[in-house]
Amino acid sequence: MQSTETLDHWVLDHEFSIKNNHKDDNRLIIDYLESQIKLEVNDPYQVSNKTSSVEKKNTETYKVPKLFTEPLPRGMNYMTRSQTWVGYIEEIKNEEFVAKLIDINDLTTYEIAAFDNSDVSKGDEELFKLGATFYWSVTFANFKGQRVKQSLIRFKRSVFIDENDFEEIMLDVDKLSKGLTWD
Amino acid sequence: MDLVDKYLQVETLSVVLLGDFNPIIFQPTWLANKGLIRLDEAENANVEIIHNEIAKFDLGWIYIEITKSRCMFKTSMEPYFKPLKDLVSGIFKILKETPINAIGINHIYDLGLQDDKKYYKFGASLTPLNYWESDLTNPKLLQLEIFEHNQDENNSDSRRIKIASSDKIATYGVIFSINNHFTIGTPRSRIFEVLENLIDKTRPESKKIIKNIFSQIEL
Repeated sequence: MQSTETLDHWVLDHEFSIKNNHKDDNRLIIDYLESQIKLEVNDPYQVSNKTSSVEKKNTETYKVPKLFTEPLPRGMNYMTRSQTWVGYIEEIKNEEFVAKLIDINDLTTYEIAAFDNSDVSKGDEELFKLGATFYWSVTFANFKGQRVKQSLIRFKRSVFIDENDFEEIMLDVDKLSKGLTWD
Repeated sequence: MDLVDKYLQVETLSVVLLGDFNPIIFQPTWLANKGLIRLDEAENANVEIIHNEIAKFDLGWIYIEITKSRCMFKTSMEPYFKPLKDLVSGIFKILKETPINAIGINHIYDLGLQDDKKYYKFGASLTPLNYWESDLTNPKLLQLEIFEHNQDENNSDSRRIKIASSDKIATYGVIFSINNHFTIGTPRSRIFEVLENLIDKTRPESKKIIKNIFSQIEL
């Protein structure tokens, strides 16, 4: 049976991430090594001060500059420790909108809050209307190691049900209601 | 701050569906045309490949990978866990005829254990490494997998928990990957029950498993 696990292999991902995230670093290392080799080619012999003899350099080891200390993973942009509310727009004014907010970790209470209309992303403007549902999150974002506190609003995108779906739902409701007994 | 939050660095949600898919349909522009993502997200998508056999792209907040038998939607951005759920649910409400046999809800936690002593103690507590010490020098735990088969129909059919070294945290990082496997038969509405309701149930359950492990190990 096939598995529904996330099939990331941490070792392969690790290799992959190094290739992807350190392309520039690798280029720098190669440039550095090439410049060292050119130096050697230009000056293949050196004079030893102690013996006054000429001997061929016998070094093939080059020190690679340490450009990074730890391999950075592919998924280095992440957001964590979030607090999220589901918001329902109750009123839209000229410059702000008022919404009822329900904490996703405590569905028993709600709060009313006002947001600037400019907080709505351009891509969500078509959904910005009375009754619309949105998610508001306060979170810590990590972008390439930099931690930033962010507040995000994203509108819920739902697929509208058609007539057939509606009929199916009503049939399910009928079935459920037949199973209900009243004391 | 609870024990998990103390060490938690990255939380990832991934939803995997098994079935019969047509990868070439899954294009960012198709998702935008159906109103499932923003138009600007489709325009700025980082497309790795779109082919008859496989589609892979990143929308910035979600990574999507589709083959003929498997779909994966993944994000490590916690505020987007609900939009991920809406997106997957929306796609398969539109693709009504697409056969789906199973859904996996995967909660993945990357934890940073701060120092080598805690890191070693964590592995040594999960499996008694002293069993190996007569034959091996300095044995260490690399990966552990625990499986549970559920009988209760209100839960997943099975859970598989993997503990391994983290690829996101370079030093002293461990990953808990908790797979909740749901077999989908009939009715098809089970798909949406899993996607819309059970993710919210499996997430706190998964965190509780880790919390219990950490409270017993006492790092």
